[in-house]
Amino acid sequence: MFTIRQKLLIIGVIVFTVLIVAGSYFGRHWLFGPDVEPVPEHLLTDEPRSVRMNRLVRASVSQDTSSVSGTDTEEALGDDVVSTINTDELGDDGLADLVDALDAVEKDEESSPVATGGFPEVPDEFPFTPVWLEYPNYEKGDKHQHELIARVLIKLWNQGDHDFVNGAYENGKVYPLYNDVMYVEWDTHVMDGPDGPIEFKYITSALGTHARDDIEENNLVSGGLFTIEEMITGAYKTKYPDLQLVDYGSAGYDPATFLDDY
Amino acid sequence: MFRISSRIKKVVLNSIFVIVILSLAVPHAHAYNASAHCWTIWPMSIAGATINNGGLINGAYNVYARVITGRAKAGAFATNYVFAWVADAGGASHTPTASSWVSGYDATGTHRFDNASCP
Repeated sequence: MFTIRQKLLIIGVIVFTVLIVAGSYFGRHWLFGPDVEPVPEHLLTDEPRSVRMNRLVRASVSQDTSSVSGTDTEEALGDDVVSTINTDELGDDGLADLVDALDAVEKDEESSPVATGGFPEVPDEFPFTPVWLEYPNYEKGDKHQHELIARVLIKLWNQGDHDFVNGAYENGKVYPLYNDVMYVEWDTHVMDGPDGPIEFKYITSALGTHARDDIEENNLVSGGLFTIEEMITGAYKTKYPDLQLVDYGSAGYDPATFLDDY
Repeated sequence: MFRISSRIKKVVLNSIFVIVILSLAVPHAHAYNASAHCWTIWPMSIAGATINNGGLINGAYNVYARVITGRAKAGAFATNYVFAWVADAGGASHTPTASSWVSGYDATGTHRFDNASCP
């Protein structure tokens, strides 16, 4: 039979395990909100993209909704199309024009260099799966920015850069992200002091990877990478000697000039 | 009274030990988050918005902070190693505001979303 000590241990472990399971289940909803929708339908079906867009727009009208703003629809319409469309103001003729416009967008994408150039071969040991291989029914242009991230990083990889862990797309540029690099912007703020204006320089934006072991909260100023005081006083410059602060504006790769077949 | 053999006791205790180890070894599945911070620390006001996408792939984000000028940035990411941050600063008489959101797909292909704002 178990000793009292062993019984207490078993009871404690069971309670501990139950708390972990229950805490992770309920805690994630409390912390991060409810789950949202699954992978967009169009990435899991063989339905042509133009047909899909038309169907989504027409379905929104038939349901007598006042706007087309669902996530699926926005995803289908793409980044270059207005994501919220007031169908009340469109009317039948307007809707037909919209569908024609969407078809035109589709044709433009299909005839663009990115669409016709095909996707590059993914090198061995490339650190992640490009978006066109991630989804079984991916169509060119479904996630244009993600395509550009992968295409730029594949070219960098083929040029010998194997250090990045990810890429991000901002303001028309792809930024390869490294564990020891942060892309930052600075600004100055002037305050009135007892002896005249006081000027200090501080980081206004940052883009980087949170893979560093010393970033626990993944947050620059709330207990993570930097404190407010370090930001204001400039102590952030020397806090992490192995972290390179790179000027955001002059960094990054413009796909239009970097990719040969953009 | 019914007695449990020492062998069974050993199996039970070992099983519990393995369960505990496994539960501790499971990575935090939802490390992604969006946060917004608004401070008024005399003589300054500071607004900051942050996202990190831990565990999410092929997603997008938006961060916005405003005290005087208003700063925003938005982007897309491929893998789960991105954090983005913006901040704005001004005098203590200004009201700081900030907001952020991040969305993407987890390992099961489910779309996830988190957002935050202040005040």
